[in-house]
Amino acid sequence: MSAFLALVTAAFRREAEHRSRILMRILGGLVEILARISIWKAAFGGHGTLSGISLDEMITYSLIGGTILSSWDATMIVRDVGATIRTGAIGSSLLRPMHYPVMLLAEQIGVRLFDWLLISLPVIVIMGSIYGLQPPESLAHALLFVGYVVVSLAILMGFAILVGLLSFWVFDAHALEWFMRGLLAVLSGGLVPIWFYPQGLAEVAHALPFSWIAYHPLAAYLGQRDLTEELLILAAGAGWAAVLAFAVAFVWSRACAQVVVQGG
Amino acid sequence: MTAIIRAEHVAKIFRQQVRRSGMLGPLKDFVMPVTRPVNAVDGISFDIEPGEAVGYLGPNGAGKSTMIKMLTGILAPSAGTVSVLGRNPQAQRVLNARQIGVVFGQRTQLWWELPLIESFELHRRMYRVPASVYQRNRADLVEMMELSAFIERPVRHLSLGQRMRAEIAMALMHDPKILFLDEPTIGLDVVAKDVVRKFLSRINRERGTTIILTTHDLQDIEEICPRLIMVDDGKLLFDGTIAALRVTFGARRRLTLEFAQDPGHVELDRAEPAGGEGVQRLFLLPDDQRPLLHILSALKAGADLRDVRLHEPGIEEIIRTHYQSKVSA
Repeated sequence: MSAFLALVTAAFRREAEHRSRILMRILGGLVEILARISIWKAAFGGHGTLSGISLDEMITYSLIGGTILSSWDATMIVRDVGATIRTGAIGSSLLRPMHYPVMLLAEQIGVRLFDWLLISLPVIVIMGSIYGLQPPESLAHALLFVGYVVVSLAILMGFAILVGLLSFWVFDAHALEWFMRGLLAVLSGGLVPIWFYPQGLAEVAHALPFSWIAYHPLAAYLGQRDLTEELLILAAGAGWAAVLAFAVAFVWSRACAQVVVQGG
Repeated sequence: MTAIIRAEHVAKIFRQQVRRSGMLGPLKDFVMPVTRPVNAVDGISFDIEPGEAVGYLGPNGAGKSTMIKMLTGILAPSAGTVSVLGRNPQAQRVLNARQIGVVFGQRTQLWWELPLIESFELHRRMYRVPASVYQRNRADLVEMMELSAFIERPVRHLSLGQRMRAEIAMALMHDPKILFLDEPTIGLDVVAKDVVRKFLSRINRERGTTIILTTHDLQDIEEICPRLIMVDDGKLLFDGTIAALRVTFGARRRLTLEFAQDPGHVELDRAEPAGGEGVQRLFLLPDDQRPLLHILSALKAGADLRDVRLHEPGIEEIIRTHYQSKVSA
């Protein structure tokens, strides 16, 4: 565990080395949130509610869904794993007395924590003070939301690592990255809440684990369901996280036999 | 003593895709890829005892790195078995990793963006080194490798020589029983090479760490490794001491004699004349351990000897001779 935490901290500190990048990413985040809010304002077009959702709630959804719960940057794992394999740097990771997926997870959590603290938080504070951020429905919903964020992170990381490990077979990680990015943009509900989806697509999204990445946590935050239902859905999300963890362990054991370390 | 490393009939075959030419080539390659086998390692066996320092030598593409990768558990052999500290290094990679140290000259194991000292800290946690052991080792290694001047600096700002010293220090931080080094002196200047070599032979002597080192710099081997394993084309060519190598490959010491005036015919017992005329004569000496004085005593009493030079063939010369004879054969 101490090694895991040390890796999380190291990844966090490594991110902090790129100071100029932080500013650019905050600016990018502001522009993205502005675009999302503008789209929702246009969509509501003066109506008070759409399908029982108010514009203020949608602004809050955009603010959190476009920052803390965004799956966009997580796809970078796929690129990183791909590059590690293509250049043969995977050899160095394999020499360490830790399992590679665990090391990846620790590093990505470090990166994620950094992003939350230094990019998401400023963006939420700035845009929230302009457009207004709704508080969670109740204290219980707030606590559930925290639980959901943990599950969201676990599912996102589990899936990203799983796809990343596929680079052992598919040498073109770029294709995998875009596949994952497109899939998550639609199925996580980060961009558009699933309650606006046509029925067929909504059913597909509900049947897959990706809706726990953004949609379910936000629905809980906004108090769309009662607490018992929330708890059950949260437990289902934790189950999905466990399934992904098993899948990663299985694929990794296969990948180990497959390893070809490139270069001298 | 039982072997700490054992390789038995080890082979590693890579499948290399054959690229077809023409406009349709890439399409054919995609639909029905054709591969051909490349025997990177081809039936190699050896045993290494604890405390040995072994040089693993061969030209580029001889399969040196592949063998190291199999011994460190990051590649599985296609055939045969390797055993390191009694384990299968690939099946028990994590356990194996705790007890070995590895340095790849061409890749870094340090954390590029972080200060060097933080790489050491991370290493300590990953390898679960007890605090007291870590403090002692770090103090020792920082002093021996002279790292204190740049230990707070991010690794990406270090020179290659500084980085390599740091890599080796880190690989020893957890008291590994075996240290694998793949081309540790590649790209280093003469001074840095010398520091690394002296350090490695000291670690081997004082700590009893078993060292396996691949290189194509023969001086590395002369200074660090009493034993030499030579490979080419994936096959074992030679395994033994440097002295035995000289005998096997027929390299002889060369004696140059310089006289004040032309001594006429000169004959030395069991030495083969190898040219020279006038005041300078050359001889090739057999490897029979005879003292030089004994050989020279065969000179005629009146010979006015001015200078004697004895040239020991380096392994480089021995191996060059070997490869040249192979090419011409």
